[in-house]
Amino acid sequence: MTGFVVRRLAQMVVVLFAVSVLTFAIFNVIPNGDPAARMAGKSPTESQIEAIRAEWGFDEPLPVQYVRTMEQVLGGSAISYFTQLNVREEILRGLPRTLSLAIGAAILWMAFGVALGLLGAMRAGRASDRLITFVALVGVSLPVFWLGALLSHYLGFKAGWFPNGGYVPLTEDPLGWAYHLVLPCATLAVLFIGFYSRVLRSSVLDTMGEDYVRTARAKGLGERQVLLRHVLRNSLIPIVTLWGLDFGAVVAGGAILTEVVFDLQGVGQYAAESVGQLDVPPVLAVTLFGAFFIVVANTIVDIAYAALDPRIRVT
Amino acid sequence: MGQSPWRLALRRLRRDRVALVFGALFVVLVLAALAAPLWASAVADRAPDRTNETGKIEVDGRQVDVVSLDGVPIGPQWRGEYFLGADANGRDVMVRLLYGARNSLLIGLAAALLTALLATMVGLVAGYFGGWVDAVARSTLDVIWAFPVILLGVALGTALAVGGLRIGPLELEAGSMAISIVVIAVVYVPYMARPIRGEVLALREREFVEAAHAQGAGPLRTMASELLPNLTSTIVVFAPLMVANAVLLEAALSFLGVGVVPPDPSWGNMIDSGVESMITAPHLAIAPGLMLVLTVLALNVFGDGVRDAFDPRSSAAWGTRRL
Amino acid sequence: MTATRSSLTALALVLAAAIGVGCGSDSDGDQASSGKQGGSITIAQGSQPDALDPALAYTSNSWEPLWLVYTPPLTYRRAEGVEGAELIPGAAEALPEVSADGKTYSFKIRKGLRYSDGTPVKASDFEHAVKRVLSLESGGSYLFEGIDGATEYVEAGEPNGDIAGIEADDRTGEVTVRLTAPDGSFNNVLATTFAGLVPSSTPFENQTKTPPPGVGPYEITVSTPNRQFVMEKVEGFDIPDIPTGNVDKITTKIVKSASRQAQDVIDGRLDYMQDAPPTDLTAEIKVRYSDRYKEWPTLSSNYFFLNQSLPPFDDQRVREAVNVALDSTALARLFAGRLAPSCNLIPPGIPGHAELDPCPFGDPNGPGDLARAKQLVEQAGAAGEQVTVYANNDTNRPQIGEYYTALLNDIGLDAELRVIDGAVYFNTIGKESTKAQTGLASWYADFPHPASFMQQIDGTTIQPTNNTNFGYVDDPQINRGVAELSQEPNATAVADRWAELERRAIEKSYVAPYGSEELTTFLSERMDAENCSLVHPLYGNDYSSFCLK
Repeated sequence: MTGFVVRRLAQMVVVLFAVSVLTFAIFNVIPNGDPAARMAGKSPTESQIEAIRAEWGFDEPLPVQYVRTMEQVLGGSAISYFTQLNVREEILRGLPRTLSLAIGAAILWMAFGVALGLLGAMRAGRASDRLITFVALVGVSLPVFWLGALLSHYLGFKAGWFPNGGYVPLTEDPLGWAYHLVLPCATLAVLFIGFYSRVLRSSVLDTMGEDYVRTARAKGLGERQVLLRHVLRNSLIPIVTLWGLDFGAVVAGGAILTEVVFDLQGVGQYAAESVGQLDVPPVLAVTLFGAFFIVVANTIVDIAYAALDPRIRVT
Repeated sequence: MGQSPWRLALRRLRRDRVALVFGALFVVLVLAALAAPLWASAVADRAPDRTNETGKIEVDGRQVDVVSLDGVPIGPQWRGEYFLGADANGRDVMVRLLYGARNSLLIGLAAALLTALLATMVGLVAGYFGGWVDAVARSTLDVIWAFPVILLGVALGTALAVGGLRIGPLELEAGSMAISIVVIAVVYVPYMARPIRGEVLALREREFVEAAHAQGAGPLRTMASELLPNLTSTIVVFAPLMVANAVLLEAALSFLGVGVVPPDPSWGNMIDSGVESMITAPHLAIAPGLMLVLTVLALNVFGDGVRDAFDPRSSAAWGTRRL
Repeated sequence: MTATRSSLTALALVLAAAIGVGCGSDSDGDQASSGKQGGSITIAQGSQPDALDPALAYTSNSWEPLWLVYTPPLTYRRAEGVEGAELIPGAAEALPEVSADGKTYSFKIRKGLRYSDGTPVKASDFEHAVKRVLSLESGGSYLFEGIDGATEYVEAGEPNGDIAGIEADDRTGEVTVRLTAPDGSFNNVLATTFAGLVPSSTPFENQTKTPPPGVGPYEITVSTPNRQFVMEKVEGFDIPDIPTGNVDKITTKIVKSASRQAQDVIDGRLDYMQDAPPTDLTAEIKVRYSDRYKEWPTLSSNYFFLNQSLPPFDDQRVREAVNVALDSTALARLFAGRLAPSCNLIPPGIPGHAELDPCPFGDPNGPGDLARAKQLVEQAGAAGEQVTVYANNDTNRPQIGEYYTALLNDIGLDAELRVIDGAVYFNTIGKESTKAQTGLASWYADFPHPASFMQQIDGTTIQPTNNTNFGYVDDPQINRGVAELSQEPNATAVADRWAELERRAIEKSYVAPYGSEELTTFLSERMDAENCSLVHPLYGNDYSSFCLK
């Protein structure tokens, strides 16, 4: 087991390394503007551009630049080419926003996903089940950025029921914080609710066919007790794993569109803005940050599975 | 081989009326996209990039500005010209919607095709050869998997939009739709390549592969004639769902400004410019959004039916959750 | 300067012409003191200012607030319209004395002047401020490169080194600046925020997080980048003709979405927004809140550049075709009506502006002549030539690009649009290797001087990267004229000759100008919009004029 964990962790580091090299390459090998010229402002002389190039080390070979940039990113001293602001501070500023959104949405999608999935399974084959399936399908087919724009316009701007985007820190105003998060969380959750209800439904139906469920029924337990005590508990395992993976992915950048539409200014929006400016340090930092969440979530799930099922460790 | 399970699956699919209806809906959408020039020339009498900022049209016997002096475009007229109203440049939204359908669907279909191609190749080679080949393939997939999808798409899209890409004889011009196709295809490869690899791994141990080897078939031959036919149902199950995902991702990228370049319309870039004027001209964002939802929904419902018919246990799932 | 409201090289500034909307009578200069004193207000900007450091600040986001914090030796009269373009002494006792050869400027720093933290102001602080601009490679360095010894100072790379051409006597407060060649706009340079005085102890680093003390009616007391900064009134500030400010505290929040800013101003959560309200809300605001909303023209010029070094625009007939076909009324709609159509490159309010009437290529307020334009393109043999149009992605710019692309196609060219992120746009089109044929450009004055605009078509400024002569205009007559007139100490005296140069440029169709953008002032209900809202032609809304009802 220890060997497996070590191997998995090593793999994780290798993947993160590759991600960082690739991101760096995308912005440096592919032809684009010279960052020094971009930073120099209005009509600088060639010597000024040279000076910036030397100061920031843009004249060094790419591998050297990569190592230096990575040192700065990991050491927390990287600063943006454009805003000249410290990248780590910016990420730390965006993190509570992204986390608030992700946690809120994750709770919503888990709760509603499970409820709809259970309902579907209990009514399997009936019209109501088919309706739930269809609603779930509509949910996964809605583009977040469009749904978000509509909700924020009609429920926020027009009806005035909710704020029209923006974020209020939890520490400043807990009620305002929650109030501002209702629409973004709901928007982001819709997609997942459809998916989770579907996964839970088939998982419940599978479990209901298992021997121990039949035994429980034979023992004369009520249908409801069987469902809640035996079936649901076992059906939830795949959902909980998925939940871990998806939560990681949402924090890692899955929430970019939602953040942009509701102007939450989380980590994702910061990344999207930096990418547009070809601003390498923040892009590198946020991509690594995101990849880290995804890889960690995957690794934890793998290790957990391996702990439960020794056969997996071989592959 | 495999004739009868196929026939069985098709028969099951034919009985799934909901899936068929939505499959037909998708066909209708494709036909509508194909008929875009017809609508443009015969009904609306406007090309998709025909601007008309200072024009006037007759509404209830009065001459009305297509775009007001304050820059507010006219809303849906529900008749030939400006059926769905105008945009800020005075262009016909309905015409752009149909032409946008061509771009969005073309990118979606082409990207899904490319994903299937790449994923099958990677899956086959990795699963068949195993060893270090497999290790390399798997780590590559892991790396792509580890990238936040949208971020990877936007990063590639932005970098390529400035200078284009040149790899040997292959040249992608900046602003070309091929960039979106390649970016979207690459992003989704791991989703499909992993299950295919797993399947190849299992198939490799089966007797018919051994038999082929015994008869002196080389790796290429074995892969093409023995393994590939057994993968078709997996590929078929993935296909509609991949198209749905690709269409959604294209819209998301265009929404973030790195997909289809205006004035070429796509649903994503139409929504992008439309959300700016939700107050005065909501039709600009609502119309392309509805088309997008309809398309993706049709593909998802149909894809769901295909999966139930061909391989209910498949890991193929609707919804690009990581988008 | 090239401008997009949010990018580095950007500066959105304000008008001069007395086309003041709904506020023509307030420009008597001392109205600020009549406003109600005290109170705190909260205002918003769309993005973090490029820098809260006078040496580096180079956008309207930063100039608007910093103008009140760092008073340079000279400054502009706090007035609207043309009056606001008048130079007055700031930290200096009087306007500089200029030597007969136009190369030496001497002025005296006011006696007893103190920074907001109480430090006495010294004459040598001026040299320190200039050193910071030069050694921090500020976008404003080019303004000071004409000082004798500036180039040597930069090359030496020693921040504490000496600039030979600046002599300061801390005892008498006298400052003498020697230039290598006469520069008619140097008084304007001495009035930029770059020349704003800071203590000599200010480090040679970007001080955005801890802005240094300055001389002005306000000081920055809190700065949290990307979030907010706070300006508080300085007690005891006293320089003639510079108002002391009415409200005690101004908190500027960074709110990215213009539509949310507008909503918050309507609801009273914000008292002023620096951005223009989104097009979408403008109509409603104009109707419902007309008493606290106004639009005013800027000292700016919007135009399409036409690259003369590449086909098809190397042919005058094709360039003329563009000018003939342009329809400013269509463009005005894309600005939600906030465009003052014109075929001039030098906007109203700048010396040298002489309205071209009639415009050589048809009325700017009327539709273009497509048939004639098409004919011109055909005559030039350019029909079907491929053209790539460049546009950035800031508000309404893509739509303008789409209009222009369609127009070029209409007159027989084969045009294609390329939209580029605003942050890298001017670098992309300013790079020779991009070979940008044509595209959108807008230019906002660094100071009210015609040279600021004519430099855009001065052939001697062409350089391989960061070029701002996007059209590669290189006309010996214009080059010579700009070089000569730039040395004239009084631009107004030679205004006719500037106008003549401009006329030549327009008649040769070196550029295709279409007008000046108008900016907005939108205040909350509790603000006294009627008596306390002064718009300066260069620095925009003057916060020191703001007061509560």
